Amino acid sequence: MEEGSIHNQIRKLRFMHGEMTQQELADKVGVTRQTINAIEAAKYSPSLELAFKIAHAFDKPLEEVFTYEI
Amino acid sequence: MSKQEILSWTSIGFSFSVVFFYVLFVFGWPDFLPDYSDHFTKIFFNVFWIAMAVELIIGLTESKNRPNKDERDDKIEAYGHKYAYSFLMVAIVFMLAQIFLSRIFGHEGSQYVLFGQPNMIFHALFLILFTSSIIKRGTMLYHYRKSF
Repeated sequence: MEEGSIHNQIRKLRFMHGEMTQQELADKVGVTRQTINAIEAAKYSPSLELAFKIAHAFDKPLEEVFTYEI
Repeated sequence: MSKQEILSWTSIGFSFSVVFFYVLFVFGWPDFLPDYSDHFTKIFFNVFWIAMAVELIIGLTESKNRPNKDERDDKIEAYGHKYAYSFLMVAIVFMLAQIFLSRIFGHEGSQYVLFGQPNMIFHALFLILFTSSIIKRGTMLYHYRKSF
C-alpha cells in the first residue's frame, strides 16, 4: 500500500481568524502549543477527535483543514 | 519546550546523578583513570539539585486551565515505555541466566564472582532499574527533539 501524507491549512486559517496564535488555538482544542506547532509543521498527525476539534475551532469542514495525498 | 520535555530532561539528569553516585559509592573511582571524582561529584550534585528544583517549580506552576499533557505527549511516552520495557526484560532475563549459570559453574568460575553473589545481583538490578528510566527518558527526548 502506498504511503500518503497529511497536509493542513491550520496556519493560514489561524491568520484568517483574527491572527489567532498557536496558544489560542491550543487552548480552544485542549492541547499544548507545541502540539499545534508540530501539527502545522506536518510532523505530527492528530487523532481523529483532535482533527475534528481543530476544524470546529475554525468553523470549517474537516476536508478544508486537512488533506490526504498519496 | 513543553513542560513534559522539561520534565524528561530533569528526570534523565536525576537518573544519571543517582547512577553516578551509586556506582561511586559502591565501586569507588577506577584506579586506571585520573582522579576526577571530586570534579564529577560536584557536577552531578548540581545536576541533582537543579533537577529537583525545576520539577518543584513545574509542579507549583501547573496551570489548571491548560493541559500539562496531551495526546502527543502520551504517544511519545508510549514510545519511551516500549523501549524501556524491552531493555528491562532483556536485562532481567540476562540476570536470571547469569544466576543460573553461576549455580552450575559453582563458586570457582568468574561468573560467580560477578553475578553469583547476592550483593552483586542487588547492585545489578538497581542499576538496571535506573538505566531503564534513562532509556525511557532518552527515547522521549529524541522524539521531542525530532518534533514528533
